[in-house]
Parts: sequence; structure tokens; C-alpha cells
Amino acid sequence: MSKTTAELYEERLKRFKDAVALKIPDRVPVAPMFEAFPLHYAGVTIEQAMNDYAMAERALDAFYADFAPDLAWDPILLYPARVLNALDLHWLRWPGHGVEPDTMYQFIEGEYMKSNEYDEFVYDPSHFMLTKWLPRSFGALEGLSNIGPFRDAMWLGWFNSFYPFSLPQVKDSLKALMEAADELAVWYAFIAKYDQKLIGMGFPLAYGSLSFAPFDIVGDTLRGTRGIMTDIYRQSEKLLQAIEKMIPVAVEMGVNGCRATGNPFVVIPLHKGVDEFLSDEQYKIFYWSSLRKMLLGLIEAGLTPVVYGEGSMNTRLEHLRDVPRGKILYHFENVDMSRAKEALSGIACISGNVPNSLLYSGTTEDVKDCCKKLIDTCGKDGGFIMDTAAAVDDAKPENIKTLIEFTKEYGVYR
Amino acid sequence: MNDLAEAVAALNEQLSLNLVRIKLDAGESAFDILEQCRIGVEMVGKRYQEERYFISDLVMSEEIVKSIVEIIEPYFPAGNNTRSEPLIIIGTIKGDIHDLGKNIVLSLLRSAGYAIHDLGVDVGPATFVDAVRHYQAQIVCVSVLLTTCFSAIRELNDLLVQEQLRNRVTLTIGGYPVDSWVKKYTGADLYCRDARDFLNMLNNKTIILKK
Repeated sequence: MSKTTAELYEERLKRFKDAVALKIPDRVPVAPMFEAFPLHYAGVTIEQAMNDYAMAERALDAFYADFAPDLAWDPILLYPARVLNALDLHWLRWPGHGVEPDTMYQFIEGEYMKSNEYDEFVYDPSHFMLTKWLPRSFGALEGLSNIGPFRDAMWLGWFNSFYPFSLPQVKDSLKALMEAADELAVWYAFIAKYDQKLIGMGFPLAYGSLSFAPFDIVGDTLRGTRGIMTDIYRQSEKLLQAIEKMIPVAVEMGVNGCRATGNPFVVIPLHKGVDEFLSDEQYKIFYWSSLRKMLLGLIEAGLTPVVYGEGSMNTRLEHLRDVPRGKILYHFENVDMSRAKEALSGIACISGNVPNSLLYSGTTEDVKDCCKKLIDTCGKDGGFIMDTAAAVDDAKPENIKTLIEFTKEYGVYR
Repeated sequence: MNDLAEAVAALNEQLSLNLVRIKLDAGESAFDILEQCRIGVEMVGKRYQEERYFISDLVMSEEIVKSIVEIIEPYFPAGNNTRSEPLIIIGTIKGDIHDLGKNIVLSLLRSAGYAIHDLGVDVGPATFVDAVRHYQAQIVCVSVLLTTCFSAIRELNDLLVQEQLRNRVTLTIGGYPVDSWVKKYTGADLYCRDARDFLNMLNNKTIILKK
């Protein structure tokens, strides 16, 4: 008798959780991160999916009708173009706004916090975000730069706090913000509805929230790579203060999102801690120390950090060992997986490493060979989840099929 | 290495700038100062190749040079000390605007004295081909991060063949996702995931130029 979708849901979730907890599941779970691949599979462009949620839904329906991974990604990674357009977001290019209709949105780095603004940022991050970062990031929100602080609104301080809201440029920005938020609400409702649909199909959701390493929070959209790298030399104390300040913020992002979705997996894409970027000493001081505190904070809140390592992390493996046993999933894009297994065996579950280039241009036999090698190397005694090196945009459908089905056949433990 | 070259190589910004001022006061020519600076930067590149230095150090060395150039700017001889061969052009392929990797290759190769022309980001096959003609380029470096852009590199390869330029240039692809699979798919001559490897190949002349 075939299993009900509710049984499938429980079985898949248990399989994944067991692997993370370093218990041996019935078989190796398979849980790749899918971005635009379901769209390509269904013949929907990225531009269409980012503008027309019903089209995104149809594409994902078609995908999940034919592919059955253990965890599912809803369309959260297909950002709502109408919201981005309305706000005139500067640090992203998306289809219809700087890139072709079927090209994935891309991040444009810039310095959205100046090198001399650390003190201001650390003193009151909320006020800085509201009056500096938002106006610099969104063309439609430039008026917010006129808003004064609320931290001194006690007694009659609110006279001054309220006054800027009479200014036309502030009103314009607030209006734009409210309109964009209405559209955002429509998108969120669509995502929430699709999550229920996935559950109905028997798929647990692959994420409960997304958060970021404190160093990346400062380095990605505040200072930029160039900025943060020079800050390491020129103002290391201030940089460390800002990073420290972002630890509880990073934990909060994870906790709040998971509370809203009711799912314990906090996906943390890692960016600037890769082998090539920082020396071991710099990594330890500026990157790992704060990331570790963040991970411990999330674990203490009862959540499961899914550390999604982008790039190469071979020299970071020793550091990654210093975490509680069976509480974290480390995903790797580009590391020597036998070394990763050796370093993290008995400490944390590992995943990833199936090259996206192979899925794009290789044959099904190549994919089988790759998966077999990974299961043989990393799957022994559990602690391994089959996953692609990076989020999948373009790939041959038969290769994705093989990745999933071969793992289900060959990855059986008992 | 003299004191300034060593200070630059050690990424000691304050000491480097102080030395530059002292040297200018003592009557040393801006050109000599720049040459010492270049030797320091070359050492930074070397240490990066030896994996003793990292991207953070490369970025910092550029910042130090920028600060030094600000002081001696009127005498800064742009483009000096560059080799005339091989002529290299670089850009991110159409559809891809991630330029961090491309910029790392640019700064590393320039610090080693190579003549490399930057075509920028989101460069279409036709623009690459025009640039090959314009610069008489011998090596075409294509930077790519997105799998969705692999097909545009293949188009570039096809266009180079069609325009009878393919036998004159070495097509190199670089970026995180490239490997032998992507090389085969796109028709490139070689692939590099690491700027260091590419510089090594250039220095060791393991890249066979086609003309």
C-alpha cells in the first residue's frame, strides 16, 4: 500500500533530522536547494515568475509532480519584482531591471555604509538602518534620511521625533513604502499558501528562516568586500565592535523567521569567509568567532543552523569542529569531502559538493558516479545529506532526476 | 627590497606613507618611489601566489598604493612597466554582472605587469569579438559565476570561429563554477578557478599562444 502524503512528510522530515542529529536514517536524505530550475523545467521565465506568482506556482507544481526530494524549497528565492521595482532597490539587478528576462537576479556590491560611520552604526543600528542604509539602498526611500531619532522621544522629545513626518519628501517615501508593503503582503500570502500546499504534497520545507554570518552582515550590504577588507587593517577594533553588535541581530533574524514559519531550519549562506579571502588568523578573529556565537545562540533557541558554505572552505574545517555534536548541518560547495568527513565525523552532518556544472553539462552516468563516490566517502554511518554544490538554476532535468533517484536507491542504510 | 618596498609588502600603510613623504622631501623622484612601490606590490602578489597572503591582503595593498599615488599623483606614469605581450582582454560574460573574481584577476595581473584590458561586466559575444580585433588580443578571459551564462560563452566560442579569430586567441574561462565539464561544453581552451593558477600559467608560459 502506498504511503499517504502525511506519512511521507513525517518520514522525510525524520530522515533529514536524523541525519543532522548523526543518527543513521533509513537512507541518505537528498535535499538540494532549487532556485530557478523548476521554472526552466516548466518553461516559465524568471521574469514571469518574479512578476506573476500564479506562473511561479504552476512551475513549482510541475516540478514537484515529477521530482521528489526529501525537503522542498518554496518560491522564496524568486523575489517579487513588483516590490523591487516600486522601491527602486539599488543593490540588485533583476529581469526587466538590468538583466535579461531569463537571467537570475544578481547582487551589485557597493559601500552602503561609509568607512567613518562605524560609531554611528554601533551606537544605534536601527536608526542607522532607517535613515542611512534604507535611503541609500532604495531610491524610493531617500526621504527617510530626514527622519530624526526616536531614542530621545521621552517627555516632549517626540516633538522633534514627529516633526520630520510633515516634510513632503518623507511623506513620499512613506507612501512608497506602504504601497510596496501591500504588494509584499500579497507575495508573503502566496508563499505561505504554497508552503501549505507543499505540506499537503508531503514535502517538509527546507528552511524556516534565513540569516547571515555577522561578518557577512557588515561585509555584504553595508561596507562591501573592499570596504570590510581594508577595515580589517585600518580600523579593526571598530569592525569587531560592529560584528559583535550583529551577533544577537543574526540570531534574532533566525529566531523570528522560524517562529513565523514554524520550521526549525535556519539557512545561513556564508560569503566572505572562504579560503581565498581571509588568512586563518583573520578568519578566526573576524569571521568564525562571531559565527560560532551566532550558531550557539540559534541552537540554544532550539533551532537547527544549516550553514550553507558558498565557495571553498578547505582551510576552515578545523574551526568548524568547535560546535555542539549533532546540532548543525554544514553544506559545502567546494571542499575535499573526504577531508570534511574526517574532520567533522561525529560532530556535524555534512552535505553538498555535487558540481552544478556537472548537472548542467554531464551525463546521467557522470552524475551517478559522482553521487556514488560521495555516498561511499561521506555516507558511512550517517551524517551525510546529498545536495548540489550550489542552488540549482540551470541543469539537465534527467541529471536532477538521477541525483535524487540514485541517492534513494544507492543510499539505503538498511 | 628597500624600506618602502618592504613596508608595502608588509601592508604597513602608515609606515609606507611616512616613507614616501620622507623620500619626496629628500628629493627622490616620484618615479623611483613608484618603482619601489611596484616592487612591494609585486611581492604582495608573490605572497598571494604562495598562499601566504589572501584577497584581504591584495585589496589592502591596492589601497596603500592608491594612497601613495595620491601623494605623488602629478608624476604617476600610468601604464609604465607593463609588458607588451601577451595582450589580454577580460570581462564577465553576458548575463553575469558579478565582477569580484574578474577584478581580482585584473589587479593580480596588473601588479605582475601584464597588459590587460578590462571590458567590464555583462559583455556580449559580439563585444568580445570586437575587442579581440581592436586590441589584437591574444588571450580572452571570460569570467562567469552563473550556470545560466555558460551558453553565452559557447556562443562567444562559436562567434570567434565564425569570424575566423578562434585560431588566433586562447579562450580562457574563470570563476567558481568552471571545471573540465564547463570547458568542454563552452569550447574554451582552458579554465581556471583561481587567479593564482592563471598567473602561474602566464609566468611559466604554459599557456600556448596561438599567434
